[in-house]
Amino acid sequence: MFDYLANPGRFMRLSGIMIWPLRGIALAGLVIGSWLGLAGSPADYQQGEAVRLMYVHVPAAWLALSSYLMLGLASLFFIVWRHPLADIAARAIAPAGTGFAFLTLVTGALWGAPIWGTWWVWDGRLTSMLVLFFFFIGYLALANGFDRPERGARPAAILAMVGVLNLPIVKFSVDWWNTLHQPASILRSGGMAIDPAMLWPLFTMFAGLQAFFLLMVIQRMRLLLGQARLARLAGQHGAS
Amino acid sequence: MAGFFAMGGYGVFVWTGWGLTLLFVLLLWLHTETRLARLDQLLEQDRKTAESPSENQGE
Repeated sequence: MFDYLANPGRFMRLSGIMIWPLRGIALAGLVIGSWLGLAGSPADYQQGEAVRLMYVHVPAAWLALSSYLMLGLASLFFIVWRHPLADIAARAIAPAGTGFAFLTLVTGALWGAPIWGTWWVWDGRLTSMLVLFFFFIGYLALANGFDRPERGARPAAILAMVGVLNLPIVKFSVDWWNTLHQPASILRSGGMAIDPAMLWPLFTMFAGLQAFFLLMVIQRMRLLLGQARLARLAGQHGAS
Repeated sequence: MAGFFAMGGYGVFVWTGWGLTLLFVLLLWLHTETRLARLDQLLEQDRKTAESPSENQGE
């Protein structure tokens, strides 16, 4: 299965089919989700209108965590099987993942300021999320910090795999330590603790941002493959 | 309408958070699609150059 999809030519053909559906889902999800999140959902009985930050903060956090897991898996495939497409996938995941990790921190601070009375505390959840953001930055620096990209691929992949150890710390930090951050409301053992009137805007925004993320990964992989092909062609012309 | 934008006094936080998120989406989307379009142009240009041997031989 992996070998079948790891062929660059086959990837270009299959991914080409997915681009327009993903564009449509991303656009529809973001437009409908924005309307639902900003106007079509109720204010919270305690937090008032500030709860609307949840519809961008929570999907950004889910995407930051899931994208880092994908980055770690792609890096593992690259290290074990040394397949260049796995390195290209990792390089395509990192910019969007870094953006979502940054947005998680910023929207969290914007939500915390009026509700907690502080922009930042050094508690388990916030600190581990900041560490995740630094892992993304470290990956980008290593992957792009060399004249020849292939020289940075291996150290960047090793760093990405080490960073995966931080993911359970982010997820369970609210259970392991006393934190200012609330515990999980959706992915928890006792079922979801959120009203459907708020759940639908949240899932719609998540669907839109998830489709956008997948679209960006596919498009950036196509971009990196195209750039490699262009460099090969330039080399051939130069040699002939 | 003013009440909607004020968001019960939380407007500055809510609009900044949403604005930054949507701005990030828009900029990354535009940046990626623009670079892909430019790359397609370069690949097409290269293909045309490779298909016209007279131009290559003339050099």
